[in-house]
Amino acid sequence: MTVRKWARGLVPLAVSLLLWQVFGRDDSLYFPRPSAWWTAITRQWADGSLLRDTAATTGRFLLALIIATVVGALIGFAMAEHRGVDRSLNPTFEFLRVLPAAVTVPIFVLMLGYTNQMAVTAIVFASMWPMILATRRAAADIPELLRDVGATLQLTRSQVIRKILLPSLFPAVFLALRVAGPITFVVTILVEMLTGISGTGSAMFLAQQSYQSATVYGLICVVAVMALLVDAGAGGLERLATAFGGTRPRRRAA
Amino acid sequence: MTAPITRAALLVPRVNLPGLVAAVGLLAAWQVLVSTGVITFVFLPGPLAIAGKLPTLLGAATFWQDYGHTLTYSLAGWGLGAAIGIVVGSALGISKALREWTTTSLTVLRLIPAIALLPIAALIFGLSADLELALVTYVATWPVLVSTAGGIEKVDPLLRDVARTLRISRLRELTQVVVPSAIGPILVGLRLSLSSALVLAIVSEMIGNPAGLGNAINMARNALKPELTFCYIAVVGVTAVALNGIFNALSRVLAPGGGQR
Repeated sequence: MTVRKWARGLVPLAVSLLLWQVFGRDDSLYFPRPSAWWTAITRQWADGSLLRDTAATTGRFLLALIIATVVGALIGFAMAEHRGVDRSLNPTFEFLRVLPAAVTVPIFVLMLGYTNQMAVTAIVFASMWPMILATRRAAADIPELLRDVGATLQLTRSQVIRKILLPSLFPAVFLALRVAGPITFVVTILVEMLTGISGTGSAMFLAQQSYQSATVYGLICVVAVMALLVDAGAGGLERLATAFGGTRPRRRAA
Repeated sequence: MTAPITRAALLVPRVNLPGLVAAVGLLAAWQVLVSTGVITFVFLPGPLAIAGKLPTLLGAATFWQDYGHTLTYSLAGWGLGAAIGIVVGSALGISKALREWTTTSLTVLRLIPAIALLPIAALIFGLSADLELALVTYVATWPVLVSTAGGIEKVDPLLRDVARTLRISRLRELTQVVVPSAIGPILVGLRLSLSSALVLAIVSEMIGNPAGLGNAINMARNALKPELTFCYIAVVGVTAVALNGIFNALSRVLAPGGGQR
């Protein structure tokens, strides 16, 4: 998409915000105007709470994403390599996968209390499924020929995994991050809101409870920017992955 | 190409034995670990204790009220969101100009997580059922809107030319040619938004509108009744699976072949 088209598409949003600014008021309880959001956010920045909350959220998000990626990829790989593992775990996973993150959070709270450990566990649990599915499919799609090459070169089992199988999975893992990244971010905000663990999600909720409307709107903008960055980052990884995986054969002939 | 289907194979559902064994095994291991005190989480009941609570829960009238509330609002919001999504999505799919002039704005709005809007909804609607309905509708709109717009954009231009040649009205062209040919992507969007609708209904009941299953889960947790909390989670899980299954079955009947694309 050209820059011009992109800018054209932004017009409705920009015009709405402009009208809001012109006709809105600073002290409106429901719809404070955009300049009031800015004032509220700069106040949060000045007292350090904005940086503290966004840093907590970002750190929690990245940690959970890394753990979900590693754990999900390992499980997916194991399922693809061993048909027994796949058949055994599939029904249980099919059930766990559809459990909404929101309902599993109370369980983790009961088990681990209101701790950061609980938050990260809950986020990982909700966001590792795309990774498992993608790795499982990718590992099942590795051409037999590649495995035969390993056998011909008389590589050991661990060498085959390290030198042939894992590298073939990297593109799939990056592609799965395209899906898992945004999910992880949403669940991070959700868990913070549900449990009050300090972060941008809970800051937003606190502001709402004390009727600081402008702060709520400002923080939503902050969340939107973070979500845009996550999306852009995931998109970058996706392009990297397709550049990597482009030359590989996509699928065995059925 | 396909294996011959015998009558017996149709009648006897295929049972995934290892899967069943693993599921039962995991539950058994959980029970053993809890009863022998190997796991020391304060509030982790064993599966037997949880299963023991289930009849009490399912026998309670308040449970069915909560359940009915959550289901009603999930489905109502889903329906509203789907209607808005299909109408706006169709407009976007048909008109290239409209697409060009709005895509970036819509993308920015779509990226804001719906739950981040919960505090605003709480300011505007108060902690009420309106908040829940508004939020569920909002979250259910997006997947349908995006997939409808995408699906219609990709409808074969030849089909629309045929409609023009037959001189049918624009409205009939839309309802009888364009939307039906985009039914596959639309169904995918509808399925996605159905599961999001249930999630957002429960979330808004947990931290917004004090009613329904979300609120009941909160109360069970706050009253430190872990067995009950787990029961609710099992109920929500089964509901999510069932809704998905019913949707798939209905779409197979109403639009054969549509969902497979």
